[in-house]
Amino acid sequence: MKRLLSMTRAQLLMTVRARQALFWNLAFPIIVLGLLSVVIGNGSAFNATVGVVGKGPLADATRHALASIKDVKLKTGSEAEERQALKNGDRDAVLVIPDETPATGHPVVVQMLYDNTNLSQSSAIVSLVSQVVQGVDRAYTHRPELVMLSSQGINAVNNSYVDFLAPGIIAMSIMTGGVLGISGRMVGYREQKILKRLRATPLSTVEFVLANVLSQLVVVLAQVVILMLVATQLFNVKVVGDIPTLILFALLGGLAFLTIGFAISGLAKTGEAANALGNVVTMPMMFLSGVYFPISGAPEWLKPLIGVLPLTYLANGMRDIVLRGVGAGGLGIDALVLAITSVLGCGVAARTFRWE
Amino acid sequence: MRVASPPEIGQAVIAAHGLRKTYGKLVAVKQVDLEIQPGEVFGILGPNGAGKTTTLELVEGLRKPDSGTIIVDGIDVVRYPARLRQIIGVQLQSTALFTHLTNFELLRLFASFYDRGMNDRELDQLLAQVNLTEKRNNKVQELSGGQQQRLSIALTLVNKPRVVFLDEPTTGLDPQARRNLWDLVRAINAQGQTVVLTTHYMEEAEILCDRIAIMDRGEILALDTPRELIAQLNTPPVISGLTITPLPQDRIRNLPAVQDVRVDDEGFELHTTDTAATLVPLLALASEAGLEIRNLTVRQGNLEDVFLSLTGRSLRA
Repeated sequence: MKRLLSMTRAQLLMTVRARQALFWNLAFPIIVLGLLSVVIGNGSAFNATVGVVGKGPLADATRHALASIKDVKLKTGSEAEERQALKNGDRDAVLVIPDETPATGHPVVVQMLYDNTNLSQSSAIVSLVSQVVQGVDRAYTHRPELVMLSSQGINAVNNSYVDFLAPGIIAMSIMTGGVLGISGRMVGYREQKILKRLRATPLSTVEFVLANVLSQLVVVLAQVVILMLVATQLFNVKVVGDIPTLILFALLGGLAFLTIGFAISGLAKTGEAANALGNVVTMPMMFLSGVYFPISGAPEWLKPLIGVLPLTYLANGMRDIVLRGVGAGGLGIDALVLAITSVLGCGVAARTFRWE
Repeated sequence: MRVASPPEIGQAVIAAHGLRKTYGKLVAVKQVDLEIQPGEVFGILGPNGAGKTTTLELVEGLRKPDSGTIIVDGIDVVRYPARLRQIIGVQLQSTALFTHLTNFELLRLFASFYDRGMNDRELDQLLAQVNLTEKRNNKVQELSGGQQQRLSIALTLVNKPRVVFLDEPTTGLDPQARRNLWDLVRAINAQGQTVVLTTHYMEEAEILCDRIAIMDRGEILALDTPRELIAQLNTPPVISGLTITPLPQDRIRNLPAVQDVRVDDEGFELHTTDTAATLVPLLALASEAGLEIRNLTVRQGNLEDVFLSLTGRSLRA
């Protein structure tokens, strides 16, 4: 026990002091998160600038209705000015409303011009504005509403891209830390004969391996806590689920990937071979496990492959916890796959472990 | 420091019999028998590939012999390697150490592996003994080659071992660092600890070791004190000196007891069966010829000559 604890402590000390490890475990995921959220994200929070042209009562009523929607910025000007602003990209939509008062049988035609370079944004604006116009129409005609659509957003948290990205990036950094970090370290120790030197002391194989497992799990714990803090404080990621569940699930994932790391270090004869094998294992997961984009968009023929990648389950589970508040009960499949991975990795590692 | 209990006469601290180790067709250790007494500095001398390291690693319990028995301080090495590890200190040939740990942290880590590991105060004394006190809080990678080797030896001592194994401790060191290391080995031995080391420097073996096993091709060819090994060699002493102009070769050859003569522009070297009988007429001859002999030396055979006569080839080849 004394041996296990002091070896674990020393290993942690070395990890904290190794700048490279710190970079890959903490700085790199934060950089990726920051870059991608700037390039792709821009937040999905809906925001529209609408110009209204016209001086009549209908125009005033429309302005009034639009002004009450908090995500809409209202502008007023002449038709020429507003058209130019739209062309310049300063307006998302422009409504041209005649000045006359509408009367039954003589509908007033409201013209709507919109910027259609951003499809999802423009369709959202079109539907929003037409709802407003219909509302104004009803206010004038006093026509009873026969059918009313009651829409209620499930997962109403309005997930942004950063929300989606953050748990995936944390999962990915757990994977690289486990697979590449552990295999690189173990092969390095073996090639430098550090393992052989340890073999000549009373430190047993089990104690040595366990010390590395424990220290790596502490690293995973630190990764989850620190990266989640950064995600929530700096990137405004909203957390629905509870943190203890997230940490426990992440530790299971950390275990799965570090056993893969040990297995690789046993299978590979040299440092280069371990590095190559590590990349072969991590690369597909990095891009296919739904870290950056939802798996649902992947082509059908890729889905069987995606289904056997452990990172798919870690990323998926962590996202379920963070974004949807899924509890331990809802993580059965994800946890099972990670547990099976751990057992398999452990088996290969135990069969292939070498001191020199 | 734990002092070795006084040994019973003839009770070896290491007794290895009939050791054999092969890797496929390669016979690393053919047949080795060794008995090492408590308190000895025992050297295994031989060229690269002689089987020195394999022999050492069999005794250390790092490898299992194909056949043979090894008893270290009463412990059957093959059956109880874990018990053995508590009482020995092992320095491997050119191992790296953990980076990112200070030298003291490294010593403390290794000490924690043992039931009888040193405490912090003892570790500081150990650092002083290996002359690394001012490098206490430096990292391994900040040490010179000689300092790293001294740290590596300090790591073998953190459990106050009965036997310390050093595999080529001075290979790659400059002459000054090598001498420092010899002093360290002597100091360890003076504490009562048995030291077993391998080397391919015959000078080192001759100066440092109480007894030497000369090894080649997986076998021990001779085992004795350096002095006895050389005495048994029975090679004639060599008289050599420097002269400004060559001595007359035919007259040297006719001096009493001379066997073999080599003369050149710078000096001469001759083998004799009787140093005294040759030396006096030689000096008379020189003064008669009006020549001054500088750097006159009489040299007995050395371990290099012993190795040459045993194997028919040079140790450094």
